[in-house]
Amino acid sequence: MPRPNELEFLAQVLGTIEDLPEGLAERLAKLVADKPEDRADAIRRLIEEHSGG
Amino acid sequence: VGERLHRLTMRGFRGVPGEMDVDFGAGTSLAVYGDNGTGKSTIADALEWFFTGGIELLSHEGRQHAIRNLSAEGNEPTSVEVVTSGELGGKAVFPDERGPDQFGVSGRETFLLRGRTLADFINKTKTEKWKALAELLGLDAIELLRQDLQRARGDIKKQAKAAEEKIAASRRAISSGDTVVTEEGVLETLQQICRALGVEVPEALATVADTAWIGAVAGESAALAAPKLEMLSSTAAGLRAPALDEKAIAAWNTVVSSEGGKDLSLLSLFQDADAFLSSSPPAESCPLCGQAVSAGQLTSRVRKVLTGLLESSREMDRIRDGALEQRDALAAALELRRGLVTHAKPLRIPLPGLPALPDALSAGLEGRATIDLAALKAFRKDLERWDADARKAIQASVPADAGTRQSQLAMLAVICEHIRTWHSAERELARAQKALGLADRLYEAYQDCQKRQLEEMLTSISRRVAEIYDALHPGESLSGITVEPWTAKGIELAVDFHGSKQRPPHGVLSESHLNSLAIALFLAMAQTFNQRLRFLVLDDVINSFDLEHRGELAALLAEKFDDWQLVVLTHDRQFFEHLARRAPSWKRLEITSWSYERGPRMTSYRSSGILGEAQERLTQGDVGGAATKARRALEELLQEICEALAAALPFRRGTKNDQREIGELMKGVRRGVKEHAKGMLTELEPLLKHLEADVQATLNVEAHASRGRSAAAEVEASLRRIEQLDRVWSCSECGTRLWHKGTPESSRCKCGKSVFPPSSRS
Repeated sequence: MPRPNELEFLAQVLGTIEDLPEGLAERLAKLVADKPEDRADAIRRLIEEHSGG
Repeated sequence: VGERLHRLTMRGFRGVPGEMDVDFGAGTSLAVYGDNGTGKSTIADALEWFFTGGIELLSHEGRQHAIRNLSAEGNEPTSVEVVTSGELGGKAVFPDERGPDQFGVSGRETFLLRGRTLADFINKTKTEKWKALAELLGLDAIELLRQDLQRARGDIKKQAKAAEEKIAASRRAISSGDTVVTEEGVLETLQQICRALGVEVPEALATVADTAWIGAVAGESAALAAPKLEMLSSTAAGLRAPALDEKAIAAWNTVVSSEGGKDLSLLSLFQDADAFLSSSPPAESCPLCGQAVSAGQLTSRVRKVLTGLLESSREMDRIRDGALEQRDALAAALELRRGLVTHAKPLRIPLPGLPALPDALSAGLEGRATIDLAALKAFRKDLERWDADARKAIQASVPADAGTRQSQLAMLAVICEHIRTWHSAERELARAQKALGLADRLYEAYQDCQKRQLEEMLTSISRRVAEIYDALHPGESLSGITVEPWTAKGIELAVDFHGSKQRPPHGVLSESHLNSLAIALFLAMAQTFNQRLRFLVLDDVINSFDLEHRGELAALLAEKFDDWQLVVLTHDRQFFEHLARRAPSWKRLEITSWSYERGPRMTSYRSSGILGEAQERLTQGDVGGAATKARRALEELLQEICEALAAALPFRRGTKNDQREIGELMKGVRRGVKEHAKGMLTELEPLLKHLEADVQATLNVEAHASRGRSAAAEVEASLRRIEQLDRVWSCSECGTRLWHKGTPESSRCKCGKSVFPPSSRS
């Protein structure tokens, strides 16, 4: 059984969500790949941006 | 195809002062036999350090730096060099400057199991098991991302909650009594106030939420100062000095005054002493005070004290947490009041000077000293006094003539400020709720996928664990062994015990069975998930296994893992002999001794076993020693035959099942042979009778220190008869036992040329 990779896994998850705001999947994948220091905070800001906030 | 080990070279590493080489040939499996303390585990340590950058057992003991052998020659660096069949080999030099990225997949894969960690794993909590498994499976990165998504969602939820609280607070401030606050009601009240004051009457609340409107109506200074004064006044009204947790402080004072607490200053000294003793030559005297003491005694004393100190240290940390909470609460109270002083200054409200937090609190916590409870009580009283004085000073700044036009304008400004806060919080809430909806969808989808993936993995592991466990305990009425998810972040081992599910299985399984379960889990994980490493190291894993299950484990490793490279390190000669018979193609090494100057001394193991040792003693003229060894060899052989024939033997409590008398074993052999191969017993009986006589007359004499003495010729004859019995059960072609494959009713050797019972030969 192959070991899972977090980016592949994320892509798999995002593929199951309908009507994702445009560009969110790509930006989230980039953010995970970039490994920012406070990733949770970066994710929060990204979600806020894409939810029209 | 994963990588196998070809060569391991250690230099100045752990118990090796010079250089030690282990040649695995072209990835051949290897069994290493050696008594405790001869340096077997150094091989496991070297592989663990090379492939992961650390040695877990050392880290647990706080000795992660004890890598270099203290007597390593000159400036020769400490290093471990590994040659593999692929690209994972190389050389690691101490101090290790490799970063975590350099270990890659190999650092995560399952390759090392130590006896000492088996019980640890079984006894881990569900969350700890999950953490260990997640790390092994490479799920930790996925788990960390889940945690970050959860935190992001949690932060957005907090924002929404904060906005809701702001809205509620603003509404409370505007309302009078229990009146329900509505936009229309507030607008109407405002309009009435404005008409009474003769100022512009607003048509909508949005108008008054604009700071320009109140500035124009009430004047700039009133519009700005009144809300600030209101805020100051309401904060001061709510001030409460934090309660003192006298029990937490008293517990701290007790622990730091105790003997154990006082001795903690010696902790680092004893840690250093332990590290020194672990890596230094055995001394005749204490290196500090010079008193004559054996190295063993000294090490044992230091360990005992160190264990006690570590326990005291853990206890002190636990109690310190309570005292730290108290310090944080007092510091936070002081900080809140500092904020009031800052806000009061521009309003020219003179607040009294703040009391200082007693130095004794931090000093006591940091210096492991007692804390003066009376000083804390006095500080709390000072805070209460300050709160009362501050409230008075703020109250005195509120204009007394509340009926005047100026104060009514100030009140209007305060209401407008609350409306502004309310509207702004409404907007924040709407934004947060939209973001929360998206965060929820993302998080729930992620969690669902993760759960599905975990279940898929656990199903796969469970199947293999059950197969391996069944091979170790054939015919036992234990079934349904599974590794199950436990809530979102835990796993647990489970067994079906006579129709009832036991999770965890501690209540129904013996220590030996639990160890089998842990070994099964380790092997299953390696089989399921290893991609790069095709070797497994088992370091003294059979401590609590009885003789029968040692045989089963040897058979399992030799037969079910013959496509893996196994490195088995053991101090148990019987297990080693089992392996040697089951897996004749493996390389075998013996570590005969360890010395400070030369480290472990290794030789190729002679497959003659204990019978060979008896012969060797006889050749050297040690007749008594030869007799003792021969008797032991006979016991082992009879025990092995009884197990293979599943001969019923009287039960003995505990490990005594492994120490039966030869008489009992002889009966067992006769019973087993009679049951499965009656005709064979007639042929065998003369030899068994001879051997019984040997035990009474020759092999028992020296062992029981009777006055008689065995003659060399008698012992020689006994040895030949034991060999003859051994040959009865071994294949003359391949050398493996007749029960290599099959059941007590029908079995055969590895090559299939010899069968049991003899009449079943085709």
